[in-house]
Amino acid sequence: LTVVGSYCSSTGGFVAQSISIADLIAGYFEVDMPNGKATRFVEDLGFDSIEMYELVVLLEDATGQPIDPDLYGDIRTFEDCERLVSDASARADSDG
Amino acid sequence: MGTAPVQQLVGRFTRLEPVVAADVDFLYKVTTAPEISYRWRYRGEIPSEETFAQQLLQTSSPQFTVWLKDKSQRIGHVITHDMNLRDRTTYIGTVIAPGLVGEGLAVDATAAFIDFLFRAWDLRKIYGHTPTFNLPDFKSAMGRGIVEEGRLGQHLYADGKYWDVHILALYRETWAAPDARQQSRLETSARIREWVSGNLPHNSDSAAAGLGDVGGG
Repeated sequence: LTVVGSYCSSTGGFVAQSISIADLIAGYFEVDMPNGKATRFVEDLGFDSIEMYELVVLLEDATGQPIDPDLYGDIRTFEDCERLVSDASARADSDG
Repeated sequence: MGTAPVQQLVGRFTRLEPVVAADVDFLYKVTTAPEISYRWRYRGEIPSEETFAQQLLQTSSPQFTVWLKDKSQRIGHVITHDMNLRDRTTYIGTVIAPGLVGEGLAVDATAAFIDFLFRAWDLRKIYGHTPTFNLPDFKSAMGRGIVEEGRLGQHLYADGKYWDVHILALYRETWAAPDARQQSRLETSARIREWVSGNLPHNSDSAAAGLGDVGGG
């Protein structure tokens, strides 16, 4: 398990930093989020259709659930990805 | 006694099926759609549906109708043209219905088609044409397997001006090589699952997206 963190000079210890799903996705694509989680993949980062395809595949792998093709167009920002993972997790919980 | 190799005609989100007469109406509408016709096989000309059907169904070049994988919905067409079995090359083209462009379905269908072609035919490489205004759609693939091997200057007239057309190539050995990107994707998806299960330190911002209480962080 990799934990993102930093060395704290005052305590001399390793401080784990929080990380979000958006951070994980940004790390995979090696991009920044200039507008935070509202950063848009196509308009702000210039994602092409191959990268959008990779994103959908990544989210399917992460949730273990297929994404309805009708929803592909709704995946525009990092926030959308987090919402999608959250909804999938909730569905999995309710399904037992 | 062995088992016959399986021909992959299924992508992640799409499936490919042989073109049949029942597809003609859909494929005619896609082919003649204003957003597509100027850069597809008839280059802006509008053949009659009868002529179109005749030419579509009489060719022996590999082609498939693209369907959404789990739905009864046609979404596009993949074709080969100028296949050369002496040089072991072919050109391919993919068209997806307007309204579904940019959602990765063309990528998925094209990948399934390329996989089929390399399995079914002893091809060395596969070419595609793209005008300059579509080149950004291949940005991430350039240098990751797809290479530009030619450029036809000022070749395509569209929207009042001439555009260069780029000839892109994909080699069999590149297609068959292990995909480091896939491994990275699997690792990232595993980390997201760890996050959801609470095994990664959470960013509190995620609570705004309804994730803060998932797994107890």
